[in-house]
Amino acid sequence: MASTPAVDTARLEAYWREHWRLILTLLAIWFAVTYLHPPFAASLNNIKILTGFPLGYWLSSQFSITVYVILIFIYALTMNNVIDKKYGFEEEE
Amino acid sequence: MAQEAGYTPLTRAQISVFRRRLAKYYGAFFIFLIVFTTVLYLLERAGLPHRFIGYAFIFLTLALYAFIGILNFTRRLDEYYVAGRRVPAIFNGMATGADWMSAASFISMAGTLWLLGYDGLAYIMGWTGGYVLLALLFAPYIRKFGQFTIPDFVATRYGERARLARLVAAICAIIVSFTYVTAQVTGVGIIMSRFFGLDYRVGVFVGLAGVLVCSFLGGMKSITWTQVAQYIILITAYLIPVTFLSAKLTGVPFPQLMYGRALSEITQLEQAMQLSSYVQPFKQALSNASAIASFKQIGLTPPEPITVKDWVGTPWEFLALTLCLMAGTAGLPHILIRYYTVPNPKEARISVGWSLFFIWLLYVTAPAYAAFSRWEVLKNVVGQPIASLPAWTASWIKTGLLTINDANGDGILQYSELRIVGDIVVLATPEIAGLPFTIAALVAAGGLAAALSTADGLLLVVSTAVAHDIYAKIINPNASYSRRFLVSRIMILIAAVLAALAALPRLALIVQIVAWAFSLAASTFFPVVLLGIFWKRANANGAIAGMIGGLIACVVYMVGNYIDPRFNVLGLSHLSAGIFGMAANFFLLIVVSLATAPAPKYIQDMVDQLRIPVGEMRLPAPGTAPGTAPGVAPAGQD
Repeated sequence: MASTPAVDTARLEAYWREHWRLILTLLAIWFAVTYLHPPFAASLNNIKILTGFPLGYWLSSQFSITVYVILIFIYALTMNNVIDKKYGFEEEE
Repeated sequence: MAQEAGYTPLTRAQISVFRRRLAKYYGAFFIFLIVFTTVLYLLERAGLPHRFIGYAFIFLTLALYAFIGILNFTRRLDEYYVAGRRVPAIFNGMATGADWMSAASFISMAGTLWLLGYDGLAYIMGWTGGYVLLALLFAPYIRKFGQFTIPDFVATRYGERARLARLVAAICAIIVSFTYVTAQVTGVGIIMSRFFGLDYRVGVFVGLAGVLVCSFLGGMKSITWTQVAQYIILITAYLIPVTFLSAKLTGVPFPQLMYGRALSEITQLEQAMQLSSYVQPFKQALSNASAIASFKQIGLTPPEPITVKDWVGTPWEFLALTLCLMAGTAGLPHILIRYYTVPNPKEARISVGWSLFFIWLLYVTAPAYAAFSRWEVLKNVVGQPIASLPAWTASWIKTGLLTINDANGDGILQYSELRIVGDIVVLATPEIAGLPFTIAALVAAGGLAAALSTADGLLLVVSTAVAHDIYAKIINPNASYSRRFLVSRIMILIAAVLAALAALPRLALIVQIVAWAFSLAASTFFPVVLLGIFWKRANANGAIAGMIGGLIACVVYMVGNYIDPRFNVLGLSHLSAGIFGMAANFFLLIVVSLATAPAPKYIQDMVDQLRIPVGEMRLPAPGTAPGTAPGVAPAGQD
């Protein structure tokens, strides 16, 4: 890998804005699946799903943490294969 | 610096060849592990004593780690500190998983869930959700910065006061990592004594040897490749017993799906026995019981017992603890440095995804362990005549992990007459599921792998903080290359011996400090690294004020609440003290930065470069940047 190429300011700023759009969207989902359901866990627990999980417990023990894994892969694949490509930030072979 | 210039980054084609070769090696290793376990099982059936099976597992795994350690002997500083920056994303993911999952995750997590019910899920969410922050905000930029240690990052980004920033960061890294490594060595001692009947102290020194064979010769390079093997052992050992238990109790071998049935059975049994519900949230009162225990053990006069119940039923502690654990996860130095070892920022992004996937496998299973064993206890242990308890209980009563006291003398075991130490949940599952001793020994080997792999990563952070950051960068910047190497190795040795000595008295305080490590990391590193990456205006004055102020705010709330729980805000416990430290750090970092001169131009250019995901950083030439000691190249170019 050579050293960082010189990049003109306009291109870098456009890239950075698009990058922020992506991570703010993903962080909003992260926030929602982390903080919106636990305060209501007691009432959500009255609903049973799948093999008998109380919904509040299931959201914290399985749903949220699975969403986290998916969020990271969406971030990595979108950055690497879509946004970086669009702005020409690719490794030379 | 001939050897140092030897660092040649890999092209994408080379990475993929390397990845295929690694997949072949580790695939063969996995098959060997299964065959080895099967052979021992057959020998067990043929009458081999349990003791020998246990020794076979310890010997095999330690010999394997030593083998990988020797194979990766290195004389190159970049290999010693960052594994030559050639670890493919998926393997760095496994190594991070092993680095991350400690003896506590492996043995105590399920037990914590058993004891806390819903409230324990704050740990599950916090310790996984932190990786989202790590991926989106930290990992690719840390890799782009491309140095050796986190104090390197702090000192370079806040280069106007490089020495002071480095010193503060190095001290924070040492405090956080050293207590954590002590807990791992304690974990090794406990596993050795419980499974193999060795003396606790002997166990500690076996653990010490195990840690040293991995890290002494090859530094990060050998640590990385042993951690991958350790991940394979620990995840196999974790998944097998609970899968059999699920099949035994529900007929379906998918514990992660089937523990729903266990939860609904538990709820019914609890209602019948009029117990508080396991899945009900926010049941914890604030108490200073652990402070009293620690004070007594050290020989100080303990404070009066105090319990505060005002905040039971409110979600604040759960939410705050989750946030502290997340920010702490993203700020822990031994995890952050793992992303220095990948070839480029793009691999770093993917690598965090793999890291969390491999961690997820264990964390999505831990609540199943807790639920199945609670079901077993409520159904087959509680309410039974004490004379006819299930066979598995006998051996665990002997170890003291399970205590039965027929207080009302009616010969029947009531729930209140049962005391459980959380660790039993994972340790006893093989027996509850009726599995052979070979599987129990595999679980012990898994716990050992979890403890050793975490200890290795931490030990490297402690030793590099002293050898690289304090010695080579501050005390003696002109130290020769081989001298720096020597100091690194001596420091690993000293840190390992100190950790073993600190583990011997088994202080309750150590466990407590580990629980605090996340708050400490959240209060010190998290804001400084985050704003360092994303806010050009952040300067050295702000960063130093932030780290010191954050540390003080965190420690004040922590200690205050630990001793007297009446000292609280919204019912937050000392475990969540990082909230206050983080707030103080962000506040000071922003206000002091704005009140003083902006960072110099060359640092602002550096932040611009960080955003470009290709190419290595162009750092200012030695001696030209103020605050950089003359004659020493910035670490990334070593």
